[in-house]
Amino acid sequence: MRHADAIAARLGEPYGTLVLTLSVIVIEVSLIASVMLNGDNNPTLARDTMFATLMIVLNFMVGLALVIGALRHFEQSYNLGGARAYLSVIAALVVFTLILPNYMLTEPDPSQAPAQTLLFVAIPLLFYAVFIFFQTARHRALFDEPISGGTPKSTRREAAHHAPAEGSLAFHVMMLVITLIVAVMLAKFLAVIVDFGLEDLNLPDEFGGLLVAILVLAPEGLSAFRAALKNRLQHAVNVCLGSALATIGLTVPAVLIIGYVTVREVHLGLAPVETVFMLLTLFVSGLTFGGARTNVLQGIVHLALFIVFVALIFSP
Amino acid sequence: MSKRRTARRPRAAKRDLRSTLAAEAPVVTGIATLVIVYALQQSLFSDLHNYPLTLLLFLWLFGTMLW
Repeated sequence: MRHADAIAARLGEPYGTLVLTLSVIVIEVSLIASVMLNGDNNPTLARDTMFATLMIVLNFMVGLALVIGALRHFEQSYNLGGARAYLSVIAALVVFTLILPNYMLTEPDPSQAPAQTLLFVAIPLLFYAVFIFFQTARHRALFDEPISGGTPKSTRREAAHHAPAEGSLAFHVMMLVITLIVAVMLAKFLAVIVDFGLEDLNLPDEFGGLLVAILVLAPEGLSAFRAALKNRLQHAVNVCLGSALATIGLTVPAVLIIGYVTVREVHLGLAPVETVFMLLTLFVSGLTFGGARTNVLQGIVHLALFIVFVALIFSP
Repeated sequence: MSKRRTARRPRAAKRDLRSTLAAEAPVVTGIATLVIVYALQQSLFSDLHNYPLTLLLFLWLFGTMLW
């Protein structure tokens, strides 16, 4: 986290958020792969993890960031164009990868047919690549903090506070790689305990997905909440929506490839209740990020949705 | 003058190493955890039905990963 932040500070937005997101995705994929390859096959684990990640990001992280930001600053502004760009890609990818498989004719899941696996690997990657080009080259300004009447005070203070950390860029990149390798190797051991817990305590499979998602998203969540407190809502939006997009755009292809290589079934289509919940979340997110300013009510609505999501895991 | 300088260098280097280690405590702890878990995996994971121990192990690994 410290090294990802140091690299982010040197590269600036949106590259900084991108480094943080990609680091988190490496850990997420390794955790899913470890649990997938450990013990009995759990074909819905990847889907459950992605669904839980989206619920945590789009409802819990966005909701809490908006509430704590609103309590401190009353109303907050962000770059509308950037949030809309994120949401349009997220919505398309969510429907394509997590809802559409239920309505295709291949049994038990389209991702089991090699040609369609290729499609489900290629399309999210393509979407993600196009978005990254859009974000880092053509429309970079859409993902910067909005400036109205000069740089906000808090941002200036923040910039001073975030003086470049010691050490060269190469040092931080090397340390980040070492940290990720350690985290990935530890994930293998953690997966043994998670798998044991799910099987021995008869916990719902969805709970495994939620656990993996919490493990993966904790650092990003903290980063988003800190940014909201400091009135840097755009950074919080970049972190939250960027994670949601990377989860779909990168995790789906990675998990499908792992499943194909290791001959493990991977089911992508969400259950009917989850589908309704996913569509409701996308709809509410569209409304939240439909205006230029956010307030406490929008945050509370997202948090309420998250509470219902957790309740549904234990009482479907 | 030059003698004093050379005497100060090792002390400064030691301080640098100490401050670097302190700054990199999460990575150092992660590597140490990894070594310990690899070395003792037979005994650590042999009785997962011992719930308090398993919970402790989970929190240790979870905490290290988050840090």
